[in-house]
Amino acid sequence: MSALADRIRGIVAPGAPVPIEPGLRDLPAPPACPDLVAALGGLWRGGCFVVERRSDPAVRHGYEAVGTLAERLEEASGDAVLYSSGAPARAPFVFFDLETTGLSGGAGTQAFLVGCARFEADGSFVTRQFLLTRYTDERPLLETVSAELARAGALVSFNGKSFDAPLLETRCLFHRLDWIGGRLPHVDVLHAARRFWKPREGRRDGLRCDRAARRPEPSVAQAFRPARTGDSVCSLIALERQVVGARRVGDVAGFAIPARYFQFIRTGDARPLVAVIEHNRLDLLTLAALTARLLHLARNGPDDARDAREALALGNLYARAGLDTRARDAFRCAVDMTDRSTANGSMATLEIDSLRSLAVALRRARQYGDAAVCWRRLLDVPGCPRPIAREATEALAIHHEHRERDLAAAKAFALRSLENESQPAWRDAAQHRLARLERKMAIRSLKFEV
Amino acid sequence: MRAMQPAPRSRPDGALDAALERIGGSDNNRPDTPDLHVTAVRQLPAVAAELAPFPAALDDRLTRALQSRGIDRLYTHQADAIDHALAGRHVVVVTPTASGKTLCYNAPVLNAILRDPSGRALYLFPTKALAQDQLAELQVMCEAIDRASGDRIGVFTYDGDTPQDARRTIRSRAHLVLSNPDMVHSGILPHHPRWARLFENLRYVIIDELHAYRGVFGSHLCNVLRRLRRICRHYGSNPLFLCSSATIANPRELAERLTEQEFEIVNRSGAPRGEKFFVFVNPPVVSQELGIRRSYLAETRRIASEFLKRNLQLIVFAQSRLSTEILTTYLKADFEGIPGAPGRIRGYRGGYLPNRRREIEKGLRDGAVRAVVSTNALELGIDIGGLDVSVMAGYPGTIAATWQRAGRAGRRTSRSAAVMVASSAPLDQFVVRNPSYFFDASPERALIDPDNLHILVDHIKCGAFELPFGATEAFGRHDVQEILGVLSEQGFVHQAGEGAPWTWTNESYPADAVSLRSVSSDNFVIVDTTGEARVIGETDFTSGQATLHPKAIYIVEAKLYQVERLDFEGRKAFVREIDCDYYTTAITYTKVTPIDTFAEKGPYPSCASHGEVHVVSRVVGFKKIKFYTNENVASGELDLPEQQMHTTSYCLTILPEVMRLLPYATDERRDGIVGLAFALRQVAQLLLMCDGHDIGISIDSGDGEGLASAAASPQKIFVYDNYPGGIGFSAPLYQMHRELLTSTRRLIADCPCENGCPGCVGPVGNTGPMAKAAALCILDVVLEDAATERSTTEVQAF
Repeated sequence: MSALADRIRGIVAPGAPVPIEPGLRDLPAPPACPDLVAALGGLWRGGCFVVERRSDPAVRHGYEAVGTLAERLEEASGDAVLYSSGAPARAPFVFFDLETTGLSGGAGTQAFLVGCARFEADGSFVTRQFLLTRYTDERPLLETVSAELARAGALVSFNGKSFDAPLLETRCLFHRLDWIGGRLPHVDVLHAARRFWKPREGRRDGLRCDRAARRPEPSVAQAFRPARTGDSVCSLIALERQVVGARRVGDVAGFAIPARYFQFIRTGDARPLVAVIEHNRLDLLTLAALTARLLHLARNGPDDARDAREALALGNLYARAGLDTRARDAFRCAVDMTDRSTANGSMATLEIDSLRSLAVALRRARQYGDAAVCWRRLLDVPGCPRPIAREATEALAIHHEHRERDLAAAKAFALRSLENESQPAWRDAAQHRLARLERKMAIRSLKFEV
Repeated sequence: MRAMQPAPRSRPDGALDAALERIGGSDNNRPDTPDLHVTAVRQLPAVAAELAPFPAALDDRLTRALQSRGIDRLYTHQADAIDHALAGRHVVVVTPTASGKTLCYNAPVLNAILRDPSGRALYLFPTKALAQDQLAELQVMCEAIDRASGDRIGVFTYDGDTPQDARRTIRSRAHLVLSNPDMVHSGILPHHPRWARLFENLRYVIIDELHAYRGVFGSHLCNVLRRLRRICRHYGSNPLFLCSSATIANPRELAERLTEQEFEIVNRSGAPRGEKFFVFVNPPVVSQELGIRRSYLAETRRIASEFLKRNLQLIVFAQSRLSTEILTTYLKADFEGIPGAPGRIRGYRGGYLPNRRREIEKGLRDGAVRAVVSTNALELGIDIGGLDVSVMAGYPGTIAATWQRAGRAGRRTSRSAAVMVASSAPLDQFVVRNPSYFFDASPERALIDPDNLHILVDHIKCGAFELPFGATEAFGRHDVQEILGVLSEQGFVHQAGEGAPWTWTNESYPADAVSLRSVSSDNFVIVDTTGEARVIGETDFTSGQATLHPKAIYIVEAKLYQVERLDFEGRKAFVREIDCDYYTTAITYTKVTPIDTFAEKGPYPSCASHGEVHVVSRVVGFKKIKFYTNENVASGELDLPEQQMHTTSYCLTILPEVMRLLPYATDERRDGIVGLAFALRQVAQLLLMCDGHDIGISIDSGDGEGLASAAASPQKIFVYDNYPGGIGFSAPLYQMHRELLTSTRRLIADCPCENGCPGCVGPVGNTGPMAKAAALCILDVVLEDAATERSTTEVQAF
């Protein structure tokens, strides 16, 4: 029957999987009885292998010490609700991050390492990483993880709402277990990170997509869709470098992680996993640092913002939560910060966004005069995109027609709209306004004549 | 079916009679007349309804809802099917179009859910449009139940068009999930934990239009169902399969092979049927010598006009999107009223937006649309009501499809007609000149080969992703444990130790790499670079080289593109729009080498065999053919890489002794073989119920280059499965050997051309002037021998 095997080899070989990294292939033969405890420094607890690590408060991670992160999280824990889409997020925070056997989701994708972390009362950072050592141990692992998460006042993750939580939920469903995560408030730091730190168009350096390929549920049509190349999600590593100020040495690349796990499964040699476990631990620490920064900003307001981008994001955060006064302050701060800087492409974009947000916020607060100043400044920014320029001229036309009652100025803005507009619907609107203004002006001149 | 009663002269001559008379069918009592314009007229008598009461086991709420919709009793076949289903027996229903097939499966399903609201059912349709059509019907039924008893039953479609945010709701609320095999394969099974409630409570799996699942698609579906049953076992359910099929030769066998379960068959229709006339029309010959007939589209236009003039409602089936548009244009020009009035004549094909389609379907039902010209898009069970006439422009390719299209006319009790207008294609000419082949022979067998290793291995990967394989688990006919062993060598799966399950150890999502509608999903995409680069189409790997070689003309919706560059490695063809009056056909050189013979009949003077072969093919050049005149205006050479595959093949060997018997010169004998192969291919396609590109043909005239050595070697004609690993055509073809040869002989002998034409042995320019005569001569010798075949021994090899 080896004829069958040969024929199958001929069929299967073309799709052979990624080979093992060269460095790992040369590892000396594993010990006769692979000892997980010795290799990874963990222990067995309730049918589940756990690696527990502690970082003391004095240990630095980038710009800050671990103890400082703990303090900031504690004092600003009340502001966590701003980041949890309204769910009542509160301390204690449990940070969690998965390492998986693939990015596609579905019944064949497993979380082989579930990293959980929290700060202890003394300010130290404790990670507990649960490792799936055998396929058959998945159920006890999930039960242990559920118990670990159950103590959380809020889950904190990076892209966990789209990836990690649904994946764990699927694993629980597979074993017909209850998924605790569905009932806990969840702060997905990726969503906030995009608003606070993702570079604007015009800048191509730094933050690029990393986990964009993760998708919870593919469809038949997927093969025909264009690849998601334009989806520039900020990666955790890039944020770690730029926002947290830390740098990794000897880190294992994300794409190489599943292969290392499969190698462990096939050979029983746990050494390739050492770097994976450290990678996951650093991800958790950086996640905690980013969360501390976000909460600290939310609590202290725009004065602590490092740049206009942070101030603007903060303004939007407050505005969404209905904190209008704080939002206006943040927007104003963002506008001021863009003023000070030299105008390059991305700054112009930031200035435009900040001015527009401020104008809208002011108008909502019925501070029409101030709003008009913003709209006017907006029109002076070189390269103001057409939709925003349209919005500004229209707002100014309305302002002058109805509030200032300066019909000539209103007409000038309406004419400007008409000049720059090519879309019929908007042209019609502008013409309609012009006609009305001219009628009003005629009546007014009539009055003067009388 | 051969109903030769006197014509119903007693009835008042209706418009239909008048129209039929005009076409030439006034005397429907005469024998078949292959040489005339109308080659056959058959009358299918009216049949009265056979009714049965509701089975007692049906829930009262369901029967009340049915009564509220005017259904007081069932047709006998509906009652039979429901009885089987309620008794827990898998059942396949084979009855004509519009006989109320859907109730056969909807009634047991709704009954089960009324009895146990946690119950679930999964419906599989070959197309999304059919699922939408059924959704509407089921929703009406469920509203009736809701009104009658207040029970709420959730019906949803779940396919590639379902928005992401609606999917979660559907998973939790749908009692009835209407989907398609592709979605089950790549969207439901790999995510089974999210569908746990469905799989735990799955009572019924409905497979509608079962006959659509033949060849590659059917082989894939069988494996998808194997995976589905694995998942069901995991969740502790064991669903019943309810299938419906159009008339094919082997519906029960197909159902049993697809699902690997034993089936009951219900094939006696209790539905009433009006009297129907079936007319075969062969357009008149314009040039006897070249075998050229009047355009079948022009003929179709004339015939459709006869019916339209008399205000009969009709459907016209065209063979392609292009001819659909052409015929629509003709009929609109002839019959459309004042401009701006609502369209009485409509076109219908894939590519129209759903809203437009719904509007046309409604127009047909309420009579506002008087004629629709459609591709096969309306062949399947979409509800358009009963029409008076169905006109087919060209033979639909299979007996089953022809009955299906004919069934679009006269769905209820009215009198109706179906007209088939033959084109000049060989298949059409064979059928139209041999009406009894169509009317009396059983329709085609639907064949599948789910254990084709390429297909099987792909699904084993998908299965391992979904659920680890047990150490003793079986899947298909091959040894799955051995296959898993090889997959383990390649890192796809891992077995932790002897007796442990095989777990998936790969990052990929295997279902994404498997397309159910082809063997390999390694397709070529066609990139239009005229303006901004954009993808305008795709072509499967096997036909990629022949259709996308450099300078080839690629046609999309009557727009012509020329291939500028073929990136073979990247599987991309870059094309640019072009304005020209020709299209191209590739010249492919194919060499088939037998590897293993499974069975043979022989040996003198010819022998037939089937077995495994190695096929090497290379596109060596191409011809430019002028539109309309089909002149060969130029040709070119190409240098493209070879393609190789292992597949299975039928082989006809003609020994040198036979060749020497022929009263022809050596090159004429060779032409005879070429012509014979051309005709053989057409007939094989007919017998196998397959598409043209499903099989390939190749001639082996011996190793030497010179004619002298060729004369001393046996001549071999291979008809091979054009898919890696084979798809199960060669063994049946081998079994139908004699039928294949006699039908081929009939095709050639009955063709009125003198020296060969595209309708028999191929155009004279391609073969030689003596090809037709030589081919017939070869067949005569071979068949004479075949008649005494009983005396020879059958050698079973392997």
